Amino acid sequence: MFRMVPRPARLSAALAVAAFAVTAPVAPARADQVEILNVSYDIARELYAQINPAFIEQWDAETGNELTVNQSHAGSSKQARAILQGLQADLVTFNQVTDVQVLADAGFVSENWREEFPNDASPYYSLPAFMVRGGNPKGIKDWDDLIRDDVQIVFPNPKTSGNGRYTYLAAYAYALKQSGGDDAAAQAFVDKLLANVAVFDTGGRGATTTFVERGIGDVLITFEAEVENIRKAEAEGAYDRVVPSLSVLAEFPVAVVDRVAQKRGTEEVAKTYLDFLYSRQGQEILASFNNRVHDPEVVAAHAADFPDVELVKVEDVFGGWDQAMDTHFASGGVLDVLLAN
Amino acid sequence: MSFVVQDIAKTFGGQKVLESVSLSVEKGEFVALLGPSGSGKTTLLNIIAGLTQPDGGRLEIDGEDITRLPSGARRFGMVFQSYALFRHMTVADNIAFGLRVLPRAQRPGRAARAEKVKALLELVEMPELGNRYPAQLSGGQRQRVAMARALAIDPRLLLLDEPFSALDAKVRQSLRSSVRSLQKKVGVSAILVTHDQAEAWALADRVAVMNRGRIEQFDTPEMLRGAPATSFVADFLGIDMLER
Amino acid sequence: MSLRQRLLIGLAVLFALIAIVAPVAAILTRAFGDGLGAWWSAIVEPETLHAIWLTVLTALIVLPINIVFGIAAAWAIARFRFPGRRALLILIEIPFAVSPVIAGLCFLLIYGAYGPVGAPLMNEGIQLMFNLTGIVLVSLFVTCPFVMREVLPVLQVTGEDEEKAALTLGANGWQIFRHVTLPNILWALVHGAILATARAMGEFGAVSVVSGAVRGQTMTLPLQVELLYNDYNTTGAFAAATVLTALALVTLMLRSAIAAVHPEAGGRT
Ligand SMILES: Nc1ncnc2c1ncn2[C@@H]1O[C@H](COP(=O)(O)OP(=O)(O)O)[C@@H](O)[C@H]1O
Ligand SMILES: [Mg+2]
Repeated sequence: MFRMVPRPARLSAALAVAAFAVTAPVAPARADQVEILNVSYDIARELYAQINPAFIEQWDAETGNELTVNQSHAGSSKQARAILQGLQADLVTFNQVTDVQVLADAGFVSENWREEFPNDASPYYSLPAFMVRGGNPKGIKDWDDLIRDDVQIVFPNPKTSGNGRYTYLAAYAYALKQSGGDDAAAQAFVDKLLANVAVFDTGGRGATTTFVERGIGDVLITFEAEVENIRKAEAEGAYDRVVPSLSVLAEFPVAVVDRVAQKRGTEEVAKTYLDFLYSRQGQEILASFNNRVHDPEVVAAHAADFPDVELVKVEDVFGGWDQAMDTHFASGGVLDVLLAN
Repeated sequence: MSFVVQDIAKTFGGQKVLESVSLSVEKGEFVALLGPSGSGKTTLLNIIAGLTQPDGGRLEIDGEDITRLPSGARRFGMVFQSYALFRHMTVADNIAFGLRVLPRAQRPGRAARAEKVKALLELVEMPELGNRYPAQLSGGQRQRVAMARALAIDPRLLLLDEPFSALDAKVRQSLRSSVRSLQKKVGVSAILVTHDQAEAWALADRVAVMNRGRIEQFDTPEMLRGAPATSFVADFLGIDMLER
Repeated sequence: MSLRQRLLIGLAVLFALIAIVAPVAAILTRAFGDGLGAWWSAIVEPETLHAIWLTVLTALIVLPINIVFGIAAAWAIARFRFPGRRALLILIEIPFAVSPVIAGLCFLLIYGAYGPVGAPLMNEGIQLMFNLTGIVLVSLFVTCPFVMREVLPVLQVTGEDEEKAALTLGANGWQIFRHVTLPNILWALVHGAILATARAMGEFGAVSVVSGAVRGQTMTLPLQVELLYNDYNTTGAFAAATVLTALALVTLMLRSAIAAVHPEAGGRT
């Protein structure tokens, strides 16, 4: 009935055009101006904020080309899903092997991605460790101390958190070893451990808040590197790190996202970037962020920062992540049974 | 000026609301559409105003076919039952609206518009109230503003839909005569919709009695009362046919 | 005042303290805990500045589209009877019923690089998700009911006769809209637009799914706040949160200011 052309229509059209101009891929970038996107896990921001300038400098020195490295950080499962839906990642640096495998299964990453880079494509690693209150008033040394009646522990729920799953498996592996491989004994041990949990948060950050800000619990269990990051952010001496005698190897897998990199012509720079993580300079930066590394010289230089620990692999003790998920964490799995007690 | 309605028909969702309605209005004549509620009066008036499209039939003014002419191009002044005053405009702006929206070439200048508004305010006997908002007026005053607004466009035909129904009895009486004298003074032809026969007798030169979408009889008040053509007309007017 | 009234008022005040005053106070104490200088340097971090800009830009793009779409939909529903009118009424409420995260995932499935709409566009080199376009699209989705919801009831109770009167007086569509309809719905429109803007700037769930979280590029303020918080950068996170809070306050004050300048825009009959 009425013709209606309100003025805001023009404005919105203009803005839409502007938005398109901002987002539309710019004409093929100049050959000497390369941009890559590193899609990474959620708590690696400061780490890559140091890695990237160092690599860019090296790339510039070697090729004379200008490089920009963009960073995306979020939970690595979410990141893997985003890549499957078209997030243009040239490479990934994750904290879960399963999340890279998802990309490999979908054909985004080469099938034998674990052989493409040294150490099963994991340039650094960490492990579940303990953070206790300053001076370690409860005298906590190892997993045994966590099932004492007078100890309350905090770690994220293994149902919802990868971090929590590592802790669960580490405790289980420790108990298996103590009992000479007796599953029933291991489950009894983990059962007692779960009974000592003061608060089950859904994620690592929530568990940290519970322990640090609400002051709940005697031990926070999280990755060793994370323990150090928290200690750095809090008052000096407020918390101590305790590394148990045995823990689970937590890998930080990397891969080139071939499907994207091939299309964008960034395979070489993506691969070189990941190689850089294995270089002396890269390993040094990684170690300075409390990650354990492989380069012998860097390991020697940082020996004092990383107490000895026996590390077991999920593949060796639990038959791989798929099987661990099925046996322990799926609905009706061991975890559910123990939690129901 | 003469206005002719010819065989107008309208159906709403399968229901025949108007059936072959014909009517004519002479220059300066005042015609009333009288009938019970639901008989189709408003629908017919809306079709005349161009607010509703008829399914069939023809509207003609001085021989010109206006059946498909857009409402705004007909230059018919309409007074709504609710008055439909623009609530956020002053009385003066309400009255000037029809002039303000004219294409630039035909639009009178600001001074000319103010002049016209002033004259119309005087005509409806509220010269002091141009700066008021509709909410600050009494019912009778609002009705007169609606009249002035409709007259501002120098209408070829004045259409009034139950213009007194929202007023109390006393105000209604006085407004009736002022509407009639205004219409006479301006010399515009008018069509009034009403369900109240007293109103029709007081105002109209001729009355069309409507029933179920048809015009039962179209005649002067005297003829209607003296010689009702159908038993519906006699019943509706309260005339005992046998007694006559 | 009876005891019961006092009790009720006391409860309301207590609730306001717990639910509104305390969190805002917490934001402020955390943000300024390390001093004004620390707060300022957290704000002028390039990434945070970019997040502020991106959030405002998104709101600015979404706002006019929302206004035009909201008015058009409300007008169509209030003034016309057409097939699909009821469906439109229900459809437009869907964004309120669907969880934002689910909405974001749906957008990914359809407009992502391998979705039915996204894939052909991707072949043309046009990417819809994980950039400003994606953020704008989901923001539009979560905010599109606000304007219509506020405007529709006003249109339904007022103005149809006024619009008809204007039509008989010779006004064209634009003149009717500009001089008759718009003034009648102005207050409702402003109210709806402000609610939509506040929601667009504060939206987390849906945006987080389609943003791709690329630093300095697709991080809106709420995402940036979460990210900084996860990084143990408390001051940075709460400083960014003060900007979000300030943006919300500005929209609220804007609303009050408009109400003060145009009292005739609403309420008068
Ligand atoms: N827009 C419409 N849609 C459907 N039916 C309508 C519409 N307008 C009027 N009608 C119907 O047409 C009939 C005549 O209505 P109307 O012309 O308003 O009568 P009156 O004015 O004589 O009371 C009534 O039965 C009414 O329900
Ligand atoms: Mg009627």
